[in-house]
Amino acid sequence: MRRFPVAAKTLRDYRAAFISIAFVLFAIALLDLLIYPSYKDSLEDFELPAGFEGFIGESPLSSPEGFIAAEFFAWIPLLLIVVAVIAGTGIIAGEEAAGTMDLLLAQPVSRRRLLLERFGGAALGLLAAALAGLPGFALGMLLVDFDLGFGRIIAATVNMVPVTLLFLAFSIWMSSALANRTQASIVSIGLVVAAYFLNLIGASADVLEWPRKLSPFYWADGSRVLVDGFDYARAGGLLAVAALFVLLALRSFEQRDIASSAGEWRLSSLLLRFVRRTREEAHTEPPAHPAEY
Amino acid sequence: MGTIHTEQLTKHYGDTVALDGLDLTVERGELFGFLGPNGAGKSTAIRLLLDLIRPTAGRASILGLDCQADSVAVRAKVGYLPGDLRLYGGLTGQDTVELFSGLREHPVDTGYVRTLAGELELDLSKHANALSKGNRQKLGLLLALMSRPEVLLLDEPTSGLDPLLQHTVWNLLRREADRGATVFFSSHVMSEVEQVCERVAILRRGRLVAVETVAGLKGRALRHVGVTFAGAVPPPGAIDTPGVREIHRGGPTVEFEVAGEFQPLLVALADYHVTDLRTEQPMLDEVLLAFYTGAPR
Repeated sequence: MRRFPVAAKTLRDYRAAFISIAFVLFAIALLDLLIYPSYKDSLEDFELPAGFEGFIGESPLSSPEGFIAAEFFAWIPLLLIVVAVIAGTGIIAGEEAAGTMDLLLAQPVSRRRLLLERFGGAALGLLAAALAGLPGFALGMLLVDFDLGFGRIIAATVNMVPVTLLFLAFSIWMSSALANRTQASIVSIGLVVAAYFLNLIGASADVLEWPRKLSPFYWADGSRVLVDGFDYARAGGLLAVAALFVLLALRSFEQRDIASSAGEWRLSSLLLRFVRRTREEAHTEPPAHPAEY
Repeated sequence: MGTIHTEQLTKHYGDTVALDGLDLTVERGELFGFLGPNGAGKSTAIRLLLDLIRPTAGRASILGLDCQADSVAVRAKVGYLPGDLRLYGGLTGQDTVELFSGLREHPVDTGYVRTLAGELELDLSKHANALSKGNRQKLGLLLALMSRPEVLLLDEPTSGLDPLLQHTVWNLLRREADRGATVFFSSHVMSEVEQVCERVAILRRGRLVAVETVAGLKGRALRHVGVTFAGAVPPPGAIDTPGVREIHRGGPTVEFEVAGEFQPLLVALADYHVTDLRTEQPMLDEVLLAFYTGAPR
């Protein structure tokens, strides 16, 4: 990492978040497998409400695929994505708000390299965190009878990464374009929530069948991977969209001014300016004759 | 073309004109002061030179390299200290040195970093958030100087430093200029500029209002001169010389305010028996204040 000091610093900056989420994934993976034998029989007769395949897929809940789809792969990507948004909005707009961007960009480093190293560092941290579930699954499979090939679990685990990177890239784009971490976070989290529920509700509403396909979560369906194996086309598509967001982020970041440390107050400053201008206009007497203009 | 060169460099923020058509040339090895009150556009000009912000119009170059098109190459030759210095609180001074050193093509000389830290009496093992304001400023200076840059852009470098340390910094800057570096620093303290600089530029509301040598500025300055006479004291109005104004008289002593050279006053006094003549240092702050308020002498 010595050749990539900014990437290394990104890993260091968010190490607490990456390590915490990695530990959570490991623990939940292990716990899910340990409780599976106890729940398996009681889930035999359990029928999911119609349309829930958008959440856990079509496998029975009592099957190993259906169980870990519901207990792990249906919602764990959301945790990874939240960390991705925290990192993504922090590494450009957060750095500007902290006022350290001036000193960093005064070094002989291009904005392109800075952004790509930042993205690379965060992506590496998220990848490591995503893979942390695998030792938990492996340990669980040693301890209980879980009739599912480990290869499928690896495939479903890796399948979480493209969608996470997509939202990481989107939040970096927002961070670059808006130069304000609060605004970038609101837009990014808003998109995550909208996309998640669009996919979830779209599974049971015919009218949303086509719009549902706009949701990255539709293409990142882990339950499908657990049954059919890794889908390179779907993962590749998500990564292509992530790459597009990175390009848009680069374009925004390279073209604009670097905000001073007061960047976080930009919205309030604009509001204040608007109020002042409105007051000034209200107090300006109209000219008595148009010729006075 | 000088080491630092700007042509009609302009920056607008909406309706606000932060910098208006700056034409400036700073030569190699110069200690150049950039003066102006807060909000005059000093930091804007420096941030434009570093390509942190983009000009609305005009262009700037450093060492012949365009500050926008060749910004990475420019920054490889520049050391920078921001006016509002913010450091990574979780990193030690040494970590910060290594981070910025890693971004350079050639790592910085660790021996030189240790020497600088010693001269500045700075402990590099402490985290930035545990440093006092003065020590953070020292670390900022060390980061600017550590690569032995050809150009130093320093935005109020002695802000927050005690007088003793201010002298240390001034000596460091003189040493940098002696080895051929161009030192361009902003300040709003005339006495500091007077101590260090050879030439100064004065900004007011984004516009360049003067570029002068410090000696030239002193030439513009007013001085109070007290003259004590033996015998006849010149009657009021007798010393009617351009640039000389009587401001007070008491007993055998008359006080004059002199603008520019002393020679006309000395010629006018030749007809009188002068027993004592006292003068004060030029009041450069008054000259500066006149520029700031838009009424240059």
